[in-house]
Amino acid sequence: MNHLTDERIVDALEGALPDREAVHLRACAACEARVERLRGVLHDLRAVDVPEPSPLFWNHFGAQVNASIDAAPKHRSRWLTTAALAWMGAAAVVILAVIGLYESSTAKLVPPVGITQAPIDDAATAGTETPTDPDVETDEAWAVVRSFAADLHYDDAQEAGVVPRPGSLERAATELSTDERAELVRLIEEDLKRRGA
Amino acid sequence: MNRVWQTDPQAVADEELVQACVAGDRTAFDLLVTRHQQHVYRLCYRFVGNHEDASELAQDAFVRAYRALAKFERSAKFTTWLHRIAVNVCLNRLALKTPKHQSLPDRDATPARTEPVDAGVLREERAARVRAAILRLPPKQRATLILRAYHELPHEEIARILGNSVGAVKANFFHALGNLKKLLDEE
Repeated sequence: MNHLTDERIVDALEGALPDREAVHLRACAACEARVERLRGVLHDLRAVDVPEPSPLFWNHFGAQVNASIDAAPKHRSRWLTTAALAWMGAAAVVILAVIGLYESSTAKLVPPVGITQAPIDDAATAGTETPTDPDVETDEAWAVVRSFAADLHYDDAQEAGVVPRPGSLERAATELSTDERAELVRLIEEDLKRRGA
Repeated sequence: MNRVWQTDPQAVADEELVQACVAGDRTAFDLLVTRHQQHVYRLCYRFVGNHEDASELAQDAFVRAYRALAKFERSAKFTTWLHRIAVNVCLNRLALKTPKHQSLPDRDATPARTEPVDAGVLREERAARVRAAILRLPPKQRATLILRAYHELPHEEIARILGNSVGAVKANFFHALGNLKKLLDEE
């Protein structure tokens, strides 16, 4: 008969060896030695206990678990805030590119009338007019966005594949609430500082 | 509302406490924590070998359990489920945090003794060597060894916890013991 497999050695160690293999084990010194070798390790292992922490530790453990549970949603919302800020930052870059593209295109290129009218055929924009939000014009903070966007060149944006839809640019800016614009401005100012602008 | 576990906590099964907790009774969860905290802490301690990490991991295991209580299947055994969470927390920690290589305390480096040594001291030295050797086992072998040798879970339950077959659990246990023997012999 073949020697015991690793699994059967474990069974032998735990006294769960089927009869047939048990007969082999009694007659095979090699398998017996393997079992005894591991039995010694297991004996040493089981003699080692975990140091008992202070009784005070157990008194406070439950309270600490509860505190962690209560703190977890705050932690999650902080994470969401960070993620939201990251998204806002990304959105700011896109909006800036789009605004810059728009301003450059209107300043340097005089598009034919037909071009600005064409998107109106689009189902998504049909029946809508370019909104005008007086807050955008009067919002001093928003001027930062405008000045930053003015540095972007139309050709650069076009090369990058950013093609604006006439009318969508202003909507992107004007659909932001005053608070959202203020946050966007803050992000842009932070970015400008970081770049040393 | 009169809750049975407030008058006779031991009479209530874990699974009933889980149901009460899912229904919004936080005190039921407190009782589950009290009931299993030492067990979970010991499991974590054997994984990481120090109190600070074990304490943090044990807390994390309970927090995760609390958040997942609604997903607990009534047909399952709570302790198996809790073990699985605790083991996963520990395995995740091992995967994220490269453990410092902890060499086994050197027997030869121990100063020569001129006086009879207390048996407790020798026992503690031996224990430190065994704990350090366990920390050097691969994660799955370590998990299997801890669950089988210390927590005495059946192979089938360990297989459910680790997502392995029973055969793989036995093989891991065999190799864990063999590797441990080598580690203890080589130093």
